[in-house]
Order: sequence, then C-alpha cells, then structure tokens
Amino acid sequence: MLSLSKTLAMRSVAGAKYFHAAAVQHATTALTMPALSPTMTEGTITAWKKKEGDSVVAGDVLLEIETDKAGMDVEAVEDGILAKILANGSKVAVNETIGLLAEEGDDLSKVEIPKTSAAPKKADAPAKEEKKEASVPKQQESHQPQQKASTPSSNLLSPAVAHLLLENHIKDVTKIPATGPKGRVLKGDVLAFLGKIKARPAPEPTIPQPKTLPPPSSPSVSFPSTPLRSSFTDSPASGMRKVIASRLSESKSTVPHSYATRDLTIDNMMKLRHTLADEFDVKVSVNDFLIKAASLALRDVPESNVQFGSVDNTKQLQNIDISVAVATPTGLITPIIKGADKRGLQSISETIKELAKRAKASKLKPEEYQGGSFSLSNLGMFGVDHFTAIVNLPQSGILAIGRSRTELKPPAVEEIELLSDSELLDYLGSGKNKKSSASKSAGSSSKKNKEDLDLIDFLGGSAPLKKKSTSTSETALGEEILRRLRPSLESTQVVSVTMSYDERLLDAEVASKFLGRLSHYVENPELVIL
Amino acid sequence: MSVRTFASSSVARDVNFTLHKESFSAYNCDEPSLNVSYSKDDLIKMYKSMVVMRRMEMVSDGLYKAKLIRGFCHLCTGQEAVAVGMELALTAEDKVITAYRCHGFTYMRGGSITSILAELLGRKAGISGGKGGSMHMFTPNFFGGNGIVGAQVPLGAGIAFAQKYLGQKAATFALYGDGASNQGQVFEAYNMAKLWDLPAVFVCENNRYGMGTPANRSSANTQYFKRGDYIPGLRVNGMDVLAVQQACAYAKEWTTSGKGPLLLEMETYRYGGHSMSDPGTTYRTREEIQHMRSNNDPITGLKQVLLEANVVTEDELKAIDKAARAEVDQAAEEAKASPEPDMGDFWTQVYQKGTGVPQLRGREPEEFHNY
Repeated sequence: MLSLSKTLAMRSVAGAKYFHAAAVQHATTALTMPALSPTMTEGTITAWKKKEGDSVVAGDVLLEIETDKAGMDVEAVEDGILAKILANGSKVAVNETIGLLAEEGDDLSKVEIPKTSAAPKKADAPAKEEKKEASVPKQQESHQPQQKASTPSSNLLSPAVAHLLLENHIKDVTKIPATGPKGRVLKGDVLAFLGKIKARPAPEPTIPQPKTLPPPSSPSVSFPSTPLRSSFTDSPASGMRKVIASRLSESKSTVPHSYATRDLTIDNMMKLRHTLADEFDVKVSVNDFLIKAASLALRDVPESNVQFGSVDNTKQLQNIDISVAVATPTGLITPIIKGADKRGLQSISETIKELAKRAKASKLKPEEYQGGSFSLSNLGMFGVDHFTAIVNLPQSGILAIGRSRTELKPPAVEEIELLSDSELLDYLGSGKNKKSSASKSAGSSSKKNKEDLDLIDFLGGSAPLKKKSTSTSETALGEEILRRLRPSLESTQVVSVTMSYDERLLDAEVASKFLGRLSHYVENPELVIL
Repeated sequence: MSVRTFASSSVARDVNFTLHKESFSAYNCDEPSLNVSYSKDDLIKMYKSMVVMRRMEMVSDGLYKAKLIRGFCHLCTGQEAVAVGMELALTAEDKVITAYRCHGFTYMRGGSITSILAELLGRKAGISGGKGGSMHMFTPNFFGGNGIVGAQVPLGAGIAFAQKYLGQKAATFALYGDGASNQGQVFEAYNMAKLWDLPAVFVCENNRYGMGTPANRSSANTQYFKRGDYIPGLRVNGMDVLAVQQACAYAKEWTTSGKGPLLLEMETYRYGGHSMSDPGTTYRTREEIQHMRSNNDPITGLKQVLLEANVVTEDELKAIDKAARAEVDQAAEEAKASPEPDMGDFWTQVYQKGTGVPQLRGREPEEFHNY
C-alpha cells in the first residue's frame, strides 16, 4: 500500500527524525481506493466500519465500497489505527487517498493530510521529482498530451491496431496522434488517421499536477456547468426510477393497448361495508372489495387470466394473483396478493395494508412484486374521476379505478310507465274541460272512477292513492299520472373503472365479459361468499 | 542472484523444543520425533523470513489494488511456515517445484525481493525479465511457478528421476494443493516414483479450499497424506514452522536413504482469497479467517515460542519486524523504479539456445520475426 505520501514523508522526515513517537520510524500510510476488480475505475464509499482513532487488526473490515458491479468490503491489510477519514459517501477514483492509517503509538494529533491526493498511475513521485527515470516519460506526456510520447509503453500495439497498420501499410506509428492511456495508439486513432472516423478529442493530462482534495459534493444533484441562467437542475435517476421508466416504455410500445370503461354502482357494496363496520367492527375498504370482485371475475372468465408468454404462446395461469399499485416515495410498485379469489375480504385487507407498509419502506422481496395475473390501480383518493393505466407486462390487463361520485339515479326503465296516446289524449281532453269532464265523469262517475282506479292499478300503482280533500278523482288521477311521468330521482354512488388490456391476449368480448362479471360482484357484493 | 544456504550448521543447535503431540500423523511410517533443536540464528532467520514473506505479499496486495500489478496474483499470506520450514530442512542441492502460489518459495530459494516484485510489476529487474509474471518465477534450484493445476507433480517426479540418475544425494520436493490432489497425473507420478524408488517428496499444501470449493466437497478422501496408497505419508501442522521443518528433514532423510518417495500433507490456511480476484469471503466466514489469524498464525506462533523460551526479547523481534518492513519497502521502490522491458526482448528466450527456429510468428498473421 505504498503511495506518494509515504515517500514524500520519508524524504522530508529525514531531517526531523523525532516527528513521531520514538517507537515508530515512518509516517502514516495512505489508504487508497483499491481496485476491487481489474476493470474498476471508481467506487463510492457507502459506509466506514471503523471510526477515526479505532485500532484495526489485519483482516478487519474498514469500509464498504460500491462499484457499478457490486458492493464489497475492504479489509485492513495490517494492524494499525485508522487515523483519518478523508472521503465518505462520494465517488472516488481508484488510487485516490480515502484515509490515513497510523501505527499503534503514533501521535494522532500530528497526523497531517497530504496535499496531493491522487497517487500517479505509476505510483511515482510528482512532477517535481525528476530524478527517477519513470517520471521522465510522464513529464513528456503531461507536456505534450496530443502527441504520442516516446515511452516504451507506447510501443505496445494491440492486435487490432497492429492489424490495421499492416493492412494499410503504415510503417511509422509515430505519425498517428495517440489518445490512449500512456500515449498508446488506439484502434480509433488509426481509423481517424485513415479518415474513416472522426478523431476523438485528446484526453486531458491526468498525471501529476498536485490536486487539492475534491470538495464534498451532494451525490444526487450536480450543479450545471453554466452558472448563468440555469432554469433546471439535473437529478440523476435512481435505480428504481430507471427500471420503472424502462418497463413502462417497453409496455406502452410493445403491447397493443385497448380500453374498456364501465361505471360500477357501489351502493350495495357501501351498505355492506357499513354493516360490517358498524355491527361487526370489521373494516374493509372499497379497494378491498374491488380486489375480491376482480379476482372472482378472473375466476369466472378464465380467458382473462392469462399472461403473455411470447408471440407464439399465451400462458394460462392457474392461480389468481392480483397486483395492487402502491405509491411509494421512490416510485410506483405493485405488490401481489396471491390467491385473491380464495381469500376473504379481511385477509385481503390485512395483506394489502402490510404489503403497502413494507413497500413504502422498500422492504419487499422480489417474489412479492414480480408476477401476478392482473393489476389494480386506484387514484380515487386523489379525486381523479377516471384514468387509463399502462398494462403491467406480462399481465393481460390493468384496472384503473376512479373516485366514487354521487350521481342521480335514473329510474329503471320498467318504472317509467308511459301512457298510451289515447289515455293521454283522454286526460288532456278531460283536463281542458275539467268541469265538463268532471260532470261528465260524475255522471258515470262510479263507472269511470272504477275504471280510473283500475287504470291506476293497471299502471302498477301499488301506492295507495293520495286522497286530497279537495281533489276530485280526476285530479287525483292526474297527479298520479304526473307522478309517474316525473321520474323519481334518487342518488347513487358510482365508480368509473377503465380496463386497459393487451388486445393480443384478450379481445374486446373477453374484456367486456370480465367487466360484466366485475360489475356483477360489485353490485351484488354478498355474492363474494360463493 | 546468489544461492543462499539457510541452515547454519556451524552454530550449535542448543535451543530445544518439544512439538505439540498432535503435530504429526503417520501413515505406513513412523512419526518423526517431537523433540527438536535449533540454533538461535536459525530460529531468528526463520522468523525474519516469515515476516519478510508476509510483508512482501502484503505489498503485492497493495500494488495489485493500485492497479500496478495486473493479471494473476496468488498470495500465500498465512502459508509462510511451509516455505520457511522446508527451506531450513533443505540444502541448495535439493530441488523444489510448486504451483502458482510461488512468491514465497521463490524468495526462500534465493530470489531477491526486488526481483520478485519487479516480476509482478512486469519490469526488467524481474526474476524472469518481466516477461513471465506471477506464475513464472525460477531460481537455479527452484522450478517455479507453474500455471497449470497439478502439472508440476509429474515434473517433480522427473526432477527426482534426474537426481537419482545423476547419483546425487538430494531430494525433490514437489508441492501441490488440495484442489490439485485429484488430478490424474498426480497418481501417475506416484506410481513412477514408487516403482523406481525416486527421491521425491510429494507435499500437499492443504489450505482447505480449492479456489472456493471446500476440501470435503471436492475429495472423496480428504486425508491427503494417505492418498499415496503404497507411498507412506505424514500429515503435519503446516502453521507451525518448527513442525514443518522437522517433517521436511525427516522426509529428505527418508527419500535420500533409498526408501523411495514420501507424501507430506501440510495442514495450512490462507487468509486471502485464492487470488487477487477473489475476496475470499464468499465461501467462508470472516470469523473463520479471523479465528485462524488470531489462534494459528505461523508468525505469531513462532514469536510466542521464542519469547517463552527466552531466545529473544520482544524488542528484538520488533526490531526484526521493522527491518523486514523497511527491506521490503525499499525493494518495492527499486522494483517500481525499474523500467519495462523493451521490444527487443520480446522475441528472445522462446527456445533453448541451439534449438530455435529461423522464423517465429507473432500475434498477427502478418507478424513475423526472423532470427
């Protein structure tokens, strides 16, 4: 774990032998970001397992590092004390100093942080040290980044480069501007030289300018490079957001979406809910009912309980697992209620609550959100009337549930009793000449009355005739007729559901059947016991 | 590089120890005596060698993580006792051949630390000119440094054959691991060695894991010292350098007195992973590694033995530690300062002199080198 700070210290300490406690000969060792795999170039420190001042035994875990591949632990190679922590939480390039280790018995207060944090690629002294041969080629490199440096390493030609040179009879490699590490000629350089591709801009000299320690930066937001008039800030997408984005795009672009809407009357359901709550102290929500109803609809219409396997086959699912969309701070996730058709409402209610809680804490296991037959998404609590959702690949459909809204209920068609034309004309005729008709009818009143009463009975008048004190039988009849003509206005609770479905798997008929059964169970909730 | 002799026969062996009674387990032979004696010089040399080796491997670890050493790098941290104990029992005429966990053996058999580190870094000062790498290190009495698993065992039998053929009173120690012990050619080597009574000592360094596979998952018979069947064997506590030395001395005596080959199983442990690509914690727990480090470490073990026997003081040992550390660090600096080999060396040392070809093909179909 040798690095520049140590060599510097050794040289500068030569005159000051008593810099540290007498038992120790050398200064602190720099702890650098290790390359945990041959291709690793940088890593993020996720956690330090030891604090400053802790003593460390060889083999102890010092810190955890996350690379783009995996998270790994870094162990201490030898015994000592963790003197200083210099980097935490940020992305650090390989070989940058992240901490300082001291020997047991060192005076920690005298530990100084080295100015140069980057150990040069060849781990040699900085530009000042010109005595070493190895630094000479680097000097050349740092001064002439554009040209190929005449170092031995630049003579290394990869097979691809050698092949191209031979093919095109290029004898002099020095003609080609090199942009590779250590002044190496890359295949792209040769191709650019031949004019086949655009030249790559030369990389900046990375080696030994004394660098100051990188300032701690917040990892999620990077400040835009133009300081003036920046009207936006970039936030890198989290892993979850990226997955959501890719899955939604894939679904929307590959699945032929079709939509079917239906309004569900939930009066009976609400009544049952209230009964359960008031009399039996059981709390179930509208969503729980809908989950159960959807699962039963899937059971009744098994052609809708399918998954997309590939272009050639459809998977008929045996179980009915309903995915329920839950909004979490990091994104939308759909935990699954397995076997929803076989569960009772209480079980569904409790399961949903538990899954939602864990989803919000990001503690769901993969099998709890991957899979499922059908999805439900409810935006009713946000006041949305209706919306369309995107099918959750590879499921067959998703139900988008809106809010429950109060609507006036039109009476059933059977209730509107229409008078035949003659009856109406009679009435109107009798209405014009009330007196005359009254007398007329009075004449044969008994007969007409009876007829009228029969008529009313025939019209389905089960309600007893209201006898107003001043009303004549005609007025009473008229009022009764008017009453029947005027539709009775009752209010009702309605929820709009829109089913988005994969038209490859379900055709419109199946989807409609599904919605029909769903409606059936919603409007007759007691049927869930079957 | 000079060939050092390790054992200082001129100094009196006046420090006596009794090894732990479970140091050895014999198969078809007698156990060596548990009473051992050494000179103080030898003991200190052993201690220093182990400390230097440990430090050298740690420096290699750091250089690899700094991306200065690339490619394969198999470290023997924790297994130092095997190389050091063996060297004290051997002379310069004896030959050693091992597999790829060879840096420690290279050092013990005469390679300088600078040359070993430079070889890992791929520099001219390397023991193979920077052209060989981690698995290609040789000294006049050390045959490497072999990358192919188990391939070195028949070679070791061959070297023993040469020694017998040339009438040398010396032995060949051919080492392999528990992972290589099931290779077919190992048993072929056993057969030839026993058939012709070759002075071959087959040493199995059992560090319990073949890469990531525990021994009991790879071998039907994990008593590797008995695997020789008709070849007698001895199991040794490979974390105790004195036991290793005693066993190797016993083995050398056995094979050079015409009794034929002998099998040694060194029960040892590596703290690091199989190589630098392996963290070493996915197939075993950190607790196990820490346990071995705190209870069975060869360096700590020898240190305790020496302190208890009042051979050295704590300060003297600390001074040895510091000196070893400084030596290795100095060598590392020299190695890093060495330049990379130039292209002129690229086409050399491919064939033994006198057996070469007029033209050699390179990496490309059109690339040729004419000698």
